[in-house]
Amino acid sequence: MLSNRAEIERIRNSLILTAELLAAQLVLDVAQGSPIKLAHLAIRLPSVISRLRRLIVACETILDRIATTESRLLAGMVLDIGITSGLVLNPPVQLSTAIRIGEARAPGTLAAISERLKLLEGTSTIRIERYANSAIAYIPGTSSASFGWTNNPMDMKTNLQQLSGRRSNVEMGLGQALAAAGVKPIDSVMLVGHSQGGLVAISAAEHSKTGNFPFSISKVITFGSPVGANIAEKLPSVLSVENKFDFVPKLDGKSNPNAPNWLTLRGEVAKDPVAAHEMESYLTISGEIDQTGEAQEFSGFAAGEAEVSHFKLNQGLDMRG
Amino acid sequence: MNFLEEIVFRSATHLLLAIPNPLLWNGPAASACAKELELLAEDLRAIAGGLSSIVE
Repeated sequence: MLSNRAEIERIRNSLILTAELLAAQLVLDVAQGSPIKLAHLAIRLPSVISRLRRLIVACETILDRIATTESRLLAGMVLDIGITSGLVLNPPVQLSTAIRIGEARAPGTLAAISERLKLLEGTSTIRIERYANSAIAYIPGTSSASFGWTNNPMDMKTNLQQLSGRRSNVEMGLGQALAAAGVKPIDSVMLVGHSQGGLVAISAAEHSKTGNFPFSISKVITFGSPVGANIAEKLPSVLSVENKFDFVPKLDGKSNPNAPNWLTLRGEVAKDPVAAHEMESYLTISGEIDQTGEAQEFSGFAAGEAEVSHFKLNQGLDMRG
Repeated sequence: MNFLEEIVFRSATHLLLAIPNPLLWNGPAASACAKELELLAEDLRAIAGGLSSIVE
């Protein structure tokens, strides 16, 4: 079986042109012409146009599936080439440092959540806030351009693994950090991730639903993450915050699904492409979102005081070590 | 054939030209698409025929 994207696009475009020709131009011409012919068309044409539209939707659906598969396959291929050539190695992950910060009040606003995530920017540290029966985990973005040569797992290798639908060292480290912080499997957990951290959060949430991640993930917030290729039905409630000037959320080539459990909120902080992706920009957007109250379900996730711990992730020596 | 019938008839031809090339897209979905396009083209030709037969 063969599905060539360009061929399906060609068919879809031909159908759109034909439907437009029939629905618009024709009716216009007929309206100025014979009423008997108009009646003939009014009876017979609508069913043809609606069948054409159904075919167009079917083509769109197939193209959508191809886009998802293509982006995953592409990331997987790059990874496989790296593994076979020895460039990408997957050494074991470990928590190198655990620091108990003390106590903190629940964030309460999206801006406060962004502020806490911003503190981790550029590090390989995960923050866990453990409340009475719930927890919030904060996962920062990529902090190393390496494909597996350093001890920092928040690297390009993790990006490829997450984009290709595989489990990364950061996801495994997240599980270790939640366990080390004393979070119980029945506790309700919200994951908050920036960029790569959002990819990891979505992946862990999906694995949680299938029983392959040992914690109950009930909410996910992503900031500037390319997560549109994921299937909403496999996830809990998701809030994706995007900056229109940030190109990173578009890297997977797909818009976020329009689903009841997936809220995408966009803001505009006009900066250069690097600065537009940084948490500083998302902090500004979060403040604007707080004014609208649209993210209340997420910002009000936890209440009361939490025990706060920071866990620095580390990778063991790679195979060349 | 006047302008009106010609548009309907030409639309039918467009649909036949849109039938998937089996070297580029094949399988059950492609076959169903090809079949539906043939049926739609047939219906449009019938509509064009009906228009031609209307005498004003």
